Amino acid sequence: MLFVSVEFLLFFIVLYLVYWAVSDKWRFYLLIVASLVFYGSWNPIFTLHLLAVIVINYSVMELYRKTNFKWLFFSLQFINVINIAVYKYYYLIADSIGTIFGIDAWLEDNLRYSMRAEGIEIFLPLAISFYTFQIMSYGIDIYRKTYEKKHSFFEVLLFISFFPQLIAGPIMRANDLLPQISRLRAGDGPRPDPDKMVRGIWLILAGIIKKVVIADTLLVMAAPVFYSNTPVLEYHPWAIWQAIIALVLMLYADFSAYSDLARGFGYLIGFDVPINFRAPFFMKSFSDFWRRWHLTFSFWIRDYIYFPLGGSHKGRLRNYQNLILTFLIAGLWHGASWNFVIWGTLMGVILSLESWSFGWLPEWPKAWWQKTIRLSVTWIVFLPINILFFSSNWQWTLDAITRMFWVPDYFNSALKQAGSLETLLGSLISVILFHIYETKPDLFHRFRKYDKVLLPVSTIVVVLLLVEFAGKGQDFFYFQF
Amino acid sequence: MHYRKAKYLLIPVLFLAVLFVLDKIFLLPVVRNRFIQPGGMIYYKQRELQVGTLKRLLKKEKIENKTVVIMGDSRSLSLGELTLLGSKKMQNKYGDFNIFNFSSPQALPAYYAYLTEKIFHGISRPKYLIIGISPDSLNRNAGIMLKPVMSYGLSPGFIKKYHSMIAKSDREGYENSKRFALAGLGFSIKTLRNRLNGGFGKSNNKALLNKMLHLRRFYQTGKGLESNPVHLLMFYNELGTALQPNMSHYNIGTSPWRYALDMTRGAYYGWVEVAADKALLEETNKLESIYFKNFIVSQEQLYFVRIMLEHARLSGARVLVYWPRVNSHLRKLYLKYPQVSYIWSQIARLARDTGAASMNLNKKGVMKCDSFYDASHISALCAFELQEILLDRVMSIK
Repeated sequence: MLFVSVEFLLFFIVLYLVYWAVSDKWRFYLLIVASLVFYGSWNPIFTLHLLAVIVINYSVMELYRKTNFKWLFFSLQFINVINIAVYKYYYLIADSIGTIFGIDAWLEDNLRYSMRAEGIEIFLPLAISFYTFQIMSYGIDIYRKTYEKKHSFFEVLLFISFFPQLIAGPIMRANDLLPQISRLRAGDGPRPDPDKMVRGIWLILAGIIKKVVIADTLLVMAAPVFYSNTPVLEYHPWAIWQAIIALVLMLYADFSAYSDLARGFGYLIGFDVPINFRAPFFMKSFSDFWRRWHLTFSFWIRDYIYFPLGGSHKGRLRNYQNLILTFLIAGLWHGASWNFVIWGTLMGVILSLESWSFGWLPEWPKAWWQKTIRLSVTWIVFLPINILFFSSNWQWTLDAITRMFWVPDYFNSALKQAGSLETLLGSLISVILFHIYETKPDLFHRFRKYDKVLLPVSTIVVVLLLVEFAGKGQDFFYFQF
Repeated sequence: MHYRKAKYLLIPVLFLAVLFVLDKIFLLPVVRNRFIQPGGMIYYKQRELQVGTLKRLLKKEKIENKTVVIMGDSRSLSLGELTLLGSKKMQNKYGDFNIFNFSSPQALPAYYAYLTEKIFHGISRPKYLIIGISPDSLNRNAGIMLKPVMSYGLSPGFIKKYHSMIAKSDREGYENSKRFALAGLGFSIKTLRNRLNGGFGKSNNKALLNKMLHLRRFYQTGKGLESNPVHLLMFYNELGTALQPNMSHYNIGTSPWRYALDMTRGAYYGWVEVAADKALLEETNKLESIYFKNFIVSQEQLYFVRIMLEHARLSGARVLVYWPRVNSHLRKLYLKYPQVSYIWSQIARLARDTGAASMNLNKKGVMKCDSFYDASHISALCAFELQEILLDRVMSIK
C-alpha cells in the first residue's frame, strides 16, 4: 500500500478508530499487527523474511547481553551485511565478474532470465536498506552501551516494523522510538493531543502536495530527457540543466513527502518521528547539504561508519580516506549499480576537497563575493554529479555532463528543449516555500490561530488537487486518439 | 476509550466521511450535465443528445435513405455536412444528405457498439454507417476504455450487459470512478480557474450562436471551401475567440462547444494547420517509445466490432469500416508491429462476414491528400477528399 492511496487511507482510518478506542495494551499489539499487515500488503513472503531478521537480531543481541561475547555481535552484523548483500548486490557482483571475465551467463539480464526459468530469481525485499540500517543501529548501540535498556521481543519487533517509517524512513534509533513503545506497552502510551493531531494533519497535507503536485509533475517533465530513446546529444545544454534541476527537486519533494507523511501519521497515533529534511537546497556547501538532506541517514553513516573509522581525528589524509569510504558505502546503499558507487565515491572526494578548502575559504565566508563563489561552485558541481543518481548508464552520464558545459551549443537554437520552464519555476517556488518552513517554522506559527478555518479549507483544496493530479500521466500518453 | 474525553479525535474521520458523501452528488445526472470538464467529455455528452436529435428527425422527416451516420475516434471528426460544401461534385451528389457525426476523442469499438444499439434500432433507422477504426487504438494497455469511453460514453446498463467483455482493471476503475465521483469526472482546478476568469458567458453564447448562423449561411450561398480553405480556418478562428473558457462551458445546456457541435451535426474542423515533416517524425518516434512498446491486442474490442457490425447488418444498414489515414512515418511504424496488421485483418474479415465493406486509407494510391495536423490526425483540409472517397464507397454497397 502506498501512503497516497485509497487502500492506505481505509487501512489507516480503521486503525486510527480502533487505536483510540482500546486500552494501551491492545494498542501495542494492534500496532504490531497493523505494521505487519502493512508490510505484508506488498509481499507476504517477505514479511516472514523481515520477521526472521528481527528474530535473529533480537536473539543474538540478548545472548550478547548475557555473555558479552564480541564474536556474537560481529557475526550478527556480518550476517546483516551478507543478508542485504545477497538480496541487493548479487546481480551487480555477478554482472561485474561476468563483464570482466567475459562470462555471458553471469551478465545480469542473462542471469536473471536463467534464474527465473529455474524459479530461483532473487527479488529485493521492500525497504531492506532501511530496516537493515535500523536493526544494525540497535545492535551497535547495545554493543557500544549507548543504549542499554532492555526490551521485549515484541517491543523490538514493533520498533523495526513500525509502519509509518518502515518503507522509506526516517531511519530511527533505539532511543528515538523504543522508549515511546515501552511506555505504550507499560500502559503509559500516547494520550490524545489536539496540537499533535493538527500538526499531523498539516504534515500529511504537505506530504500529499509534495508528492502528487510537485514530485510527480517534475518527473513527467524530466523523464523524456533522461529516459527516452532520444540521444542526449540532441538536447540543448539548458535542457540538461533544466532536467537535472527538475529531478533533484523531484527527489526532494518525493522523499521529504514520505518523511512528512511518516511524521504526520505518527503524530495522529501519538508518536514522535524525527525530522528528516531541513531545507537541503539552502545549503552553503556539500558538507552543509549532508546536515540538511536525509538527516537520519547521514547521521547514521556518520555515527556508525565515519566516526568508527576515525572521523577527522586521525589527521587530514585519513579524514579524506574516511569520507571517501563512508560515502562509497552510502552510494552502494542507495542502489545496486556502479553509477551509485561512483556517485558516492565522488561525493566523498568532493567533501574531502571541500574540507581541505575550509582551511583558506570558510564554509560561509563574510564577504559577499566569497559567498557567491562558494555557492556557485557548490551548485555547478552538485547538479552534474547528481546526473549519476538518475542516469541509466555511464556513457549517457558522460555525454550529458559534457553537454552541460559545451559552450558552442548554447547558441544552437535548433537543439531540443526540455519541458515547461513555467512548471519548473512553479515547482522551485513551492520547494522554496517548504524550505522556508523547514528553516523557520515559527514564521508560520502566527497562522495557527486560524487552524479551525485553514485546516478544513486546505484539506478540501488538497483533495481537489489529488483529484486533478492523480492519473495525469496516463492522460498525457494517449492524446493520439 | 479516549473518545469520551477527546471527541475531537473523531473530527478528521467525520470530515472525510462528509466529503465522501458530498462527492456522491457528482453522480447525479442533473449535476454531471452541469459540470462538463474540458476535452472529450463535451463530445460524449453532445453525442448523447445528438442521438435523440437524429431519432426525432428520422421519425419526423422519414429521411432514412438520405442519412449517413459517422462513427470513429478523433481521426474521423472532420466529416460532416459542412465538408460537402468543399466540393461542387460532392454537393451535387450528396447535397441533400443528412450527415451526423458521432466520432469522439479516444472512442473505441465498445462505444460504437453502444451507439449502434441506440441508433440502429426501432422503426426509423439511418441507411448508411461509416466507421473509422484505428487498429492502433485497440491496445489493451492504452487505458482509454475506462476514460473516456466508460466514464463518459457508455451507459451503466450497457456496461452491466457486457461486463464479461470488459477487462477487470477497467471494471475496477469504473467502480472506483463511482466511489470517487469528482475524480471519475476528471475535475480540474486549472479549468475552474480559467472558466471563472472568463466570467459567466451567457451573453457570449447568444453572440456566438448568431455568428455561427451567419457563417453557416455564408457557406450555404455556394461559396465553396475547396478553392479557398482559408474560409474554414476563418470559421474556426472566429469560433476559437467565441469559445474562450467561461462558466457556461460547465453546463451542457449552455455550453458554446455544444452549440458548435450541434451546428455542424457533430463534426469538428479545428485541426486545419499542416505540420512539418520533421515535427511529424519526432512525434511518431515519441508515440512509438510511449505507446507501441507494450502493445497487447484487445480481443474484447474486437468482440465489440463484431457485435456492432452484426447489429448494423440486422438493421439493414450499408456499412463501411475504414482505417483512418495517418502520416507516412506512422504508416511505416504500423509495418513494424504485427499486432496492428493483425487487428486490421480481423476487422476486415468481420466486415466481410457481416456484409460490410472495409477500406484501408493507409494503402498506397487510395488518397492523394497527405497533409497532417499532427502525427495521427489528418488536416481538416483533406476532409473533402476523404469524405468523397468514403461516401462514394458506402453508396456503392449493395
